[in-house]
Amino acid sequence: MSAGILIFLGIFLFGVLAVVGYFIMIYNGLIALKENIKKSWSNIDVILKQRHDELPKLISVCESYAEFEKGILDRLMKAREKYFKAQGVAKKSEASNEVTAALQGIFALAESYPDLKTNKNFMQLQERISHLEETLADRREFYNDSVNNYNIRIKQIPDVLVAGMLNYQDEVMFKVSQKERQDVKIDIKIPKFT
Amino acid sequence: MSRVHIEGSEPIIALVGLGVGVYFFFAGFKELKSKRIIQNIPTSKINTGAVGTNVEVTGRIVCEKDKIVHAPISGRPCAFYSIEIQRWEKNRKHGRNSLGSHDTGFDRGHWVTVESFYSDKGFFIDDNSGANAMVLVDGAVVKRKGDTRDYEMRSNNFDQMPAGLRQSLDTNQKKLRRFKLKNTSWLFSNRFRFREWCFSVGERIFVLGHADSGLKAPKRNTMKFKTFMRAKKAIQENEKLKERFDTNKDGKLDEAELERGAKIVAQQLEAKYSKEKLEDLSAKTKLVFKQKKPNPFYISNMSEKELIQDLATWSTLKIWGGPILSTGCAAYLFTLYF
Repeated sequence: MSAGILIFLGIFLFGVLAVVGYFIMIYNGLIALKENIKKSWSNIDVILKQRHDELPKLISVCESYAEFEKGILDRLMKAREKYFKAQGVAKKSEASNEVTAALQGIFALAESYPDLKTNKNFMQLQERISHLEETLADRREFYNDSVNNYNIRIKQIPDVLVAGMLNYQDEVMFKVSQKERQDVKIDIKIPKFT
Repeated sequence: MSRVHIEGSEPIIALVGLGVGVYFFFAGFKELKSKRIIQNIPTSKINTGAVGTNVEVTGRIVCEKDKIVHAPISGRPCAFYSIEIQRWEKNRKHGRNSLGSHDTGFDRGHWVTVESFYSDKGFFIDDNSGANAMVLVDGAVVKRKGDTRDYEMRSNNFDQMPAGLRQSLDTNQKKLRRFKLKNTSWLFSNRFRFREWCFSVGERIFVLGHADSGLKAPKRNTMKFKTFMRAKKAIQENEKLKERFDTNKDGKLDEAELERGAKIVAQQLEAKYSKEKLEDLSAKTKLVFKQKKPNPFYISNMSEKELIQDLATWSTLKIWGGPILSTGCAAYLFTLYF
């Protein structure tokens, strides 16, 4: 056996090892990415569940004010029901956005009810829900980053080959509702100086 | 004579090269895996990061004013420092080599890390999310940019080392099992190198690792050297304190009495001045990063992009360079013996 053959064998051996090692790494990496998405969704679900547990308390506090608009509370209850029935990320995120919108409506309306606004229970619930909303926003961002990483990876070479074998498809992002994306209309009335 | 030396050492070098090449190949894959893990995990905010899982955060180092330490060699004020104790080890000694050939005289060596210690268990980082994270450094892969400070000396000259370094070695003596701060005779002396690196307050840090809840944050109760020295000075300047700690009542305060007294006074000082500030940082701790195998644990003062670039460069070099080195060395050995 000549040195040339030995070099060729060495390169071949390292080549095979490199290809196998790289394949295993890509495969494990894709599995980890997929599991990361599941886990980050579960982390969102935990917060959504906590927020939903607070909703009946908020509704009962608001209901104690007889004059409080029933329509807006009904909207929140319907959104809550819809969330429980929702299956899959897309439907759940849609229902969650409806809950967020209904909650925003309640908190905005509460401004016109000074008694309700200063109610201790209401204030505590508002604070708690606001905190949960903030956490939810951060976790949604994290989830979308995880999905984005995954969606990019499964389209890149060489990951696309392994993703094809595993039949991995694009994952859905947690989208923000159209309403949340709209600009806030500020109507400032400036008194006229004469 | 020198020609003979080279010829005799070549098979050994080739054999070492073969092993090093294989090692580089696998190390390169390990770095490539690390790079992909860092790329795959999005950055979280400390305040809302999920606990009990791998979390990646970036933030600036925060430290209570009275917890700032001075690096032992450079004297730089910092939040955290590390000292690596390295010993020079010769690759081979004069005499017959393992292959039974003649004396080669080949005496090149390398630095081997025998011990290392930190100024504290960890440090805090803040990412402006309303909470901070505690990073317990033990077991982490620390990737740093920026210079390290080295101090080299022989073990027969230990008494001439800088005071700061000596103090820090003295303080950590109990933890150092493979290093003793004792002067040896010139005949049995070894070459030592003390390598220092530190993280300054306000430095941007990247951390990826297993995060536990802030409720599990360990209490930091190690006494600060600065406080200890302050207490020592206070005793020396105060006649009443001198009298109090003069246990054998000989009218003099010897070193042991002074140290015992300084420890007691320092504990009281720390309890008095640091408690409030410590509780403040600990109360805001939401995440605690620590090693949990098999989870990865990286700490770096590079940005995520720089770190990924660094890992990509080194992994490529090792994955390609390792096999080239190994194959070349194997071919050389083959031509030499067959």
